[in-house]
Amino acid sequence: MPGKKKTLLRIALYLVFAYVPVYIICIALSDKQGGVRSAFAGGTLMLYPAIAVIITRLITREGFRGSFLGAGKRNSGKYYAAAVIYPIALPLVSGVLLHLFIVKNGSIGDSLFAGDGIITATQLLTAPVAAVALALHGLGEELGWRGYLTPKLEELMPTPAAVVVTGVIWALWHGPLLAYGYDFGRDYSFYPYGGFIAMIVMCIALSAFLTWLTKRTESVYPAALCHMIIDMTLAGELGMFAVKADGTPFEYRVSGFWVLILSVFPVIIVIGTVCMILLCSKKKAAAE
Amino acid sequence: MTGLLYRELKLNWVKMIGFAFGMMIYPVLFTVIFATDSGEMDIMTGRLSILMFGMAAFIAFLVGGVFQDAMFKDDERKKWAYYITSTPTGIKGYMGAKYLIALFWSMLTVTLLVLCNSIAADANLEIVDATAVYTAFFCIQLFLRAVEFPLMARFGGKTGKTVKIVILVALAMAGVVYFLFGDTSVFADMDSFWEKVISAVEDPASMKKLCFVASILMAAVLPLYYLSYRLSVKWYLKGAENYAR
Repeated sequence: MPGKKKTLLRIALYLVFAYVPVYIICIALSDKQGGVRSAFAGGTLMLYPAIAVIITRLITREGFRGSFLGAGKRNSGKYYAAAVIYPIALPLVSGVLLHLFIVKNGSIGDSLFAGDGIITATQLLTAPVAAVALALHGLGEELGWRGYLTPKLEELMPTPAAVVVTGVIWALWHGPLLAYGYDFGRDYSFYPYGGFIAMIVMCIALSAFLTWLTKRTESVYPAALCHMIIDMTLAGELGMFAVKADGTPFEYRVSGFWVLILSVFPVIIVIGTVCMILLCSKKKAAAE
Repeated sequence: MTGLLYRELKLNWVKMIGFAFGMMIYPVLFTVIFATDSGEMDIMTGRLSILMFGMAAFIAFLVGGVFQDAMFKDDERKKWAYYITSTPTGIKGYMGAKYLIALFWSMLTVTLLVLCNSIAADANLEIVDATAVYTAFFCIQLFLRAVEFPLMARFGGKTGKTVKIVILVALAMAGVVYFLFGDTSVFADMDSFWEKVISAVEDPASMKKLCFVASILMAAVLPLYYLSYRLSVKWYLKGAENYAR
């Protein structure tokens, strides 16, 4: 019991340090459009979970053991490959879904993606490299969420529950931005609550995948890499499916909010569910 | 592996702080100049800022590269080489830690430069985002380390660097020979040369091709860095025989 209390206190401390600066910046410097007015403040947001971990570990004197800072177990290469392939494939599959079910007046062949091979190839080649160059930002978040919060929650609850709780906390960490339309815009009838729900679902599913990567490799780097590539590629690549070769947007059967939900979420949820099952089965195998 | 990373940080933290300050002097200086510039900045000056930040980034990566080299050749002792080979982590872990620290250092450089750029952009809206330039320098730095580290692992720090310089001098000589005896008609009239360069930059089709070639080269750097790591692992013990101590 005292152990659980100590873990709860550590989680609370971490959350205070991770949430407070981000909420202050996002509220004080909000551009009221889902972003922040200061490029510098915006650029530092992803680093606060890592800073929070460092401060928490120093205050609680728990040290940095179990921070998943090594490059990973032997044969981790396939998980690193998965960390790169998944975020690159995600917008591609989403783009196909977009054209299969949502676009009204055109086919995938009319899109910018298919229309200009050189631009598409350039985008596909550059994004992972840029993501590696800027991976410290991804590492900033993953050191906090997957490297600290999930393992701490696992001391209190089963892994799937820990993954779900991490996803919810991670989603709400974006709260002040979501309230102004971050990621999902304002073009839907139950704004801003729909954005919050969508973010929670997305973060839980991504949390499952990123936790699976972290656990299988015992390293936080694949998750950081994956996170950064998602951030760098999803909007850009999906955007190439969303417009025609001449730059004019397609007509959709639903509003912008639902375009995102119906095209991107199926892939994220399927992969997240598979990873959750894999996490559960590994737990069961370990218990047996 | 985590232990080896910790060891590198513990042994090099003073050096790291020193080099971090050293490499960020120019970027911070330019940031202060742009951020405190009270006058209205026009679009042209804003575009020129990318050149200034590009130069600052060049110096930052150059200084950072010196740290990466110094960190790589820190443990050139036979006893250490044989000891680390006998540990469970082995040469792979040891070299992995070195390569990882070098990669982190390049990432840190990019992150710090992006933050400097964004501080300047906050103060002056016309300042152009130079992240693409930093990413290009990041790739060049990784490429240079990917070439240099295996040579240093195989021949030791001093000889490895000499071998690298010999390769660079050979390339420079090839360039000189080309300029002496090759077709240099394109440089005959520098005005028309610059006109050609500017028209190529302004032409969307040629820029598109240029970006495509650049993206292929950039994407090739990461696999090359990994291959370089494998080569260093393979050559490390051979190189240890060359150590003076």
